[in-house]
Amino acid sequence: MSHTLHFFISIVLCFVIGIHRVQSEITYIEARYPLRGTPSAPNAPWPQPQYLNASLNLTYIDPDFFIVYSNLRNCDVIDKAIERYQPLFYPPKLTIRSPDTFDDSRVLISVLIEIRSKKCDVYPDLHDDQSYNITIENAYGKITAENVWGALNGLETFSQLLFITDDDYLAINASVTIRDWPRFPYRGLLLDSSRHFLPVPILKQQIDAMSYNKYNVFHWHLSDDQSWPFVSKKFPQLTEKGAFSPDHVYTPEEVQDIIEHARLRGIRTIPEFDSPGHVAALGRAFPEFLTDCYNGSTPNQAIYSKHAAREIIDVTKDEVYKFMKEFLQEVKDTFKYEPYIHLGMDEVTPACWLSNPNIQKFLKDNNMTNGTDLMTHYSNKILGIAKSIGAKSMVWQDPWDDGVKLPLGTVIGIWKDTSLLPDSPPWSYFLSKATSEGYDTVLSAPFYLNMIKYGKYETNDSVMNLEFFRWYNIDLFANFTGDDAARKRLIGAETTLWGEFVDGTNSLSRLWVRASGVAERLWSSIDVNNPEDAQFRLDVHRCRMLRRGIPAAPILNGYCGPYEAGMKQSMVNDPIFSYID
Amino acid sequence: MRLPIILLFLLAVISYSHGKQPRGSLNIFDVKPTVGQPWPKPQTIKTTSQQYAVHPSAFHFMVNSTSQSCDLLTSAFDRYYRIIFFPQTYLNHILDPELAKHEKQIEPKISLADLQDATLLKRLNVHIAQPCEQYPSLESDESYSLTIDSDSAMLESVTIWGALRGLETFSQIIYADDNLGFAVNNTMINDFPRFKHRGILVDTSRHFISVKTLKMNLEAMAESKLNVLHFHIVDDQSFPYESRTFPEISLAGAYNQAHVYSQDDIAGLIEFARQRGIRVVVEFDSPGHTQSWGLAIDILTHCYSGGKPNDEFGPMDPSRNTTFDFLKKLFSEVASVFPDHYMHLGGDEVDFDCWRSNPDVQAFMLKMGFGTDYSLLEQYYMQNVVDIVGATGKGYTVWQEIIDNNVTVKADTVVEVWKDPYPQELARVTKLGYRTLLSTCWYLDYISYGSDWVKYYMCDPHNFNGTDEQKKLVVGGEACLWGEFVDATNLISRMWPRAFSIAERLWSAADVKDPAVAKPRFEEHRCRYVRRGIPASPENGPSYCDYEYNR
Repeated sequence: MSHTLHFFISIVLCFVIGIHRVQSEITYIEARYPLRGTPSAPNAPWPQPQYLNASLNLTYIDPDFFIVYSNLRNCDVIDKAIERYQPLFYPPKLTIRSPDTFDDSRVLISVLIEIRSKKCDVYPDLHDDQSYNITIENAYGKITAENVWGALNGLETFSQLLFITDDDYLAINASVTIRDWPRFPYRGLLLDSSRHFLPVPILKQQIDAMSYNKYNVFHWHLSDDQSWPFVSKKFPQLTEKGAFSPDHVYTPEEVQDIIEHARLRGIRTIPEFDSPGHVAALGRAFPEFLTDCYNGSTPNQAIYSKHAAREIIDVTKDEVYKFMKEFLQEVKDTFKYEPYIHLGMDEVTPACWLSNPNIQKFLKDNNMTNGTDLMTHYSNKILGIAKSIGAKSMVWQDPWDDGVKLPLGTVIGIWKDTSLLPDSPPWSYFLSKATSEGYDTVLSAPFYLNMIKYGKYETNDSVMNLEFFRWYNIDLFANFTGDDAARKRLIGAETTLWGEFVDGTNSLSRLWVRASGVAERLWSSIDVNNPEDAQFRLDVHRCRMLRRGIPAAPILNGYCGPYEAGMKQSMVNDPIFSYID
Repeated sequence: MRLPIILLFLLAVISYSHGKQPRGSLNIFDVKPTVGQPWPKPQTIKTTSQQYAVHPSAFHFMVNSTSQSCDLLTSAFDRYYRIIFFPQTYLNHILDPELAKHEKQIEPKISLADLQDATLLKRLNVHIAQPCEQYPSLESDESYSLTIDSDSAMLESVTIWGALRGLETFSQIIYADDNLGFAVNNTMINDFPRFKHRGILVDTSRHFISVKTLKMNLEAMAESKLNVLHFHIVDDQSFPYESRTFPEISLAGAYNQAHVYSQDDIAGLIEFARQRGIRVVVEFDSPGHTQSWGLAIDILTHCYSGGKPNDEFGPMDPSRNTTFDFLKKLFSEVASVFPDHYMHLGGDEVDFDCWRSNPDVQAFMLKMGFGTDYSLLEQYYMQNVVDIVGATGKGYTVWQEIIDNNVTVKADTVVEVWKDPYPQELARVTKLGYRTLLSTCWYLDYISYGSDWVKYYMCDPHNFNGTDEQKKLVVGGEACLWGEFVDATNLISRMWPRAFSIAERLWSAADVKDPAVAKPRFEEHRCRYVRRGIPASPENGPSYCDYEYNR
């Protein structure tokens, strides 16, 4: 209760500070429906911290004399973060005046980042303590955290508290107390590099945007029917045959570059290599891995709506498992710090398998009867391979739905819902069931941000943008029937931007700032759920992302500042933030 | 053409969308983009398999000795040389010269020496029959013919505007070729637009759109032969137009002073558009949609509640002469700033509640004998506005409400239909004898998941019951991207390639209407935009372009 109380107090204080400068302003969709909600302070952090208290009076920052330092020496994660945050603290094209006319007591001198473990961690883990505290008092600031990942979260929040006043001073509340921790430890974003290729500079900007929203898992969907962009050293034919073109690939160096870019921002990169379905691109390199589908006794016959001429991996072939073992070993070595590999296993229909006489014989020989048996066989093999090479497994829910007994410890991704598949139960059903059976679970079903639509959410006296409201308003535990232990097994969720209609031209503006709505849902307290207030804070955050070169699209009418896309002081496409050679 | 349209039927069933629909309806056919086919499709085009190599150091544009010429043509030559041979750096060259300086010059992959055995296309001769007009108009002739059958190609047109359209087509039929570098096939094209008014509405009031982004959008329009920018410059939310006569309006009514179009900005946009044969039709919408105007000038109706004025304002106040005095001055300025014959006067969505509440307006109603019929007051207001604008010598475009409301307008008025069902609306307005535009079915701000360009492609402005005379009155249409959820971050990728549909519907022959046939050409055009630096988004499911957009 006390948290809730403080929460409201702090909002009031922030609003008063807002008088200093309204850096941006959203306005109504239609004049007859004025916006409801409380306007935001210009430096309201997003996602909303668990506990925040800030003074009315301000302290100022002199870019030439302000320093951020840490109790850890020579820790790359911290050193590079401090360097990286310079252009975020001091937006390069905006005017910042030196506060040299102010009394010294009103100038913030330094921020100490104190990492209690005194360890320079290498790679974030699901079970890490991600919390941090911020205090600013008497011209000194301090960020404390158990480990470097919490410290990065704190540094991000600190950077958001800085704002440029009306008279061009860089300011922050003179006294700040923040205690913050995430509601869910797993806050993922899925990007699909197969349906369309996403160039490396775009991926890096996406990862930057994730860090501005405290997302901490990049789920990289790296293969599918349409293309295979991941260059394998062991099996170069995968991209030679499976990529759109030799230009539409990620080289080993680029993959390491992405992993490192994410790691330094406290973001894990979980690669997904989907099988036994979604493998047409794999099948271009290894046609022999696919199943010959039969029409009666004729092989390689498509019966459209049932199966293609050749599709899904033939689970009876030993060379498939030989390949998978070698390939997954390479994946494990490539993503060397990441314990998980996502193995896909979604949307496999057994019609082709069952039409094939060899597979029919295999079923008989092994005392099996149906597609589920085949899928059980395949998933046992693949999960066994993953285990044997020291990897943990994530899979989509499909095999589990179909009755395959997955070992506990397999993380299940819930993606099915009535809204996507009319005959499917709602996601709450799957979520309750999987967590109650003891599986750690990640929810993506209500967060398919690729499924855009135009709409307004109308109450009696206000209108909101549905493309904000419908993501922000999701209650992850709606209709949840599991017990408290089951509840804890929902480790988090994933925003998904499937790539059918997304590439470098629109990936960033389509995802942001909508994905920020999900970010707050996953980080902030369950009590932070007033969309009418949140839209004001989110607008402040969108403008912040614009200042950081992310072309985050608006959720309402209004404006940000002289740094909007295409304007002289725009940071969108500026070399500092765009990673173009 | 060198390559016929090929639909590549993949052997595998490709799942289209992760869990979108049950398998079975998921099957898609990969689309193989065409090579060197223009968008919109010309009225007639004949090609053979004979190829000509086109090389940057052995090709130039020429003005035919008997042709008319002007700066519009010579600057177009400069542009199209760059578009054809250096497309990736073209847009920066135009929009961001500073950035362009740092760009690596791309060397042609094939040297001239490699082309000794090839037949070269050495020049394009351009012949324009009539002297260049200063500005395009609704009446402009945009026809052209293009003949490529020797080392010297020929582009002929009646006007400079037709020549610009022909140059665009010429740039599109040249394609990258492994052996020849750039190549073009033996081609004969005769081309002209089906409709004269092919417009795009951009809304700069809900969000300010930077001049640079507007220019990129104009460039994108030219590359699909769209020829009217409907500049919805002001609305309730903001007034970014910096008036010479009333600078106080944008001082108070713009979002802030960084969000203003100066007179120089406007002149620059008009010139940028003129260079591309694009008209700029500016809209000053009234009497509704004017909240931002009233922040500086007392022209709006004061709304009353409980017998007292509250803090709210309604539409323009027609009961005061000062309102019309103001409009006379403002529209006289606008008429001189924007050279196009037409000015868009809006007139849509007038809310009567505030008028009803105001005692002065009530008294005025009595005095005028309008009773309680506030549509008569609206009619009175618009009649004054059209008379004011008519007196400047300008014509006007209006949203359909004006006609619905029986305002007497000039004979050359263009009426824009935006309501459904549009076939009935078109039939009704054309029956009254007005020139008509259609935008109902082309509201691009209404986004949805999937290939919605097909829906826009299927909509035809002649799809109504009417006589031939009525059909002739339909002068075209407009794709509208209203700005509630659109700013410079997403305007271009949301507009393009979806506006391709409108471009082809309004230019090409009526029988060019099968989206399945158009799709491979659509794909080529999308990638053409990306290669030229315009972030046109993917609309047909999984695909790729040779050059991907990475910024």
